[in-house]
Amino acid sequence: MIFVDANVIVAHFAKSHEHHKASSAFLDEVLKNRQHLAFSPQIGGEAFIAATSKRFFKVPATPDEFIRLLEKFRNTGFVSVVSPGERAMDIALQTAKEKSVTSAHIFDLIIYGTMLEHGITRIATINVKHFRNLKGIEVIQVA
Amino acid sequence: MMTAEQALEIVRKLPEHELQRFFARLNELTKVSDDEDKWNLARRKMAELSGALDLGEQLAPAPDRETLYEDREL
Repeated sequence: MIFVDANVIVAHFAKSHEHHKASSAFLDEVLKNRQHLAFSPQIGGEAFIAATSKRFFKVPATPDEFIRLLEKFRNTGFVSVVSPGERAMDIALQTAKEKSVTSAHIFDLIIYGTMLEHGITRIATINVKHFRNLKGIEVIQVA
Repeated sequence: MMTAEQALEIVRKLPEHELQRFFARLNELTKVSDDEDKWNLARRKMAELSGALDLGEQLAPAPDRETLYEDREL
């Protein structure tokens, strides 16, 4: 199972995204190799921000447009939504302490904690720096 | 190639243990085929979502989480 970061989902949906082709090709390759995908509610929210904000695209998606696509993504088959529980929070906070992480970077660690809580050891992302040097996971660069 | 009728005739004449083996193998093959269909369907559905959003020009590179959350007031 491969955890998918928000940027890969947005790049897959948005044809003008600089990593659109790479993201779509990656997701197809994953399914071709019969591997399951997963994402968390946080990822869904972050993809929503990126796709509907005027900061990132000239013509941002409407909430309705984006939600319909995300629903379809969830229902593609072999895509699971995994949620963080207490263990994810404990892992995130402990790692933040160990690595002196501050500010919004805690959200990277909540993703990390969510993955470990669900036994997921691979994450596909465009920004690999978010997950560098986190033990027990493999980071797959999509770009 | 034999007709379906001819094939059925052969199956009908199989001894019990051979018949069981036949159906076990048939189930196996059908399962693989169903499985393949599901993965292919998933790929098709995923491909339909590719480029489904026309957001115009990308104004900033894929943001890190700090940038993503910077407008969020707590």
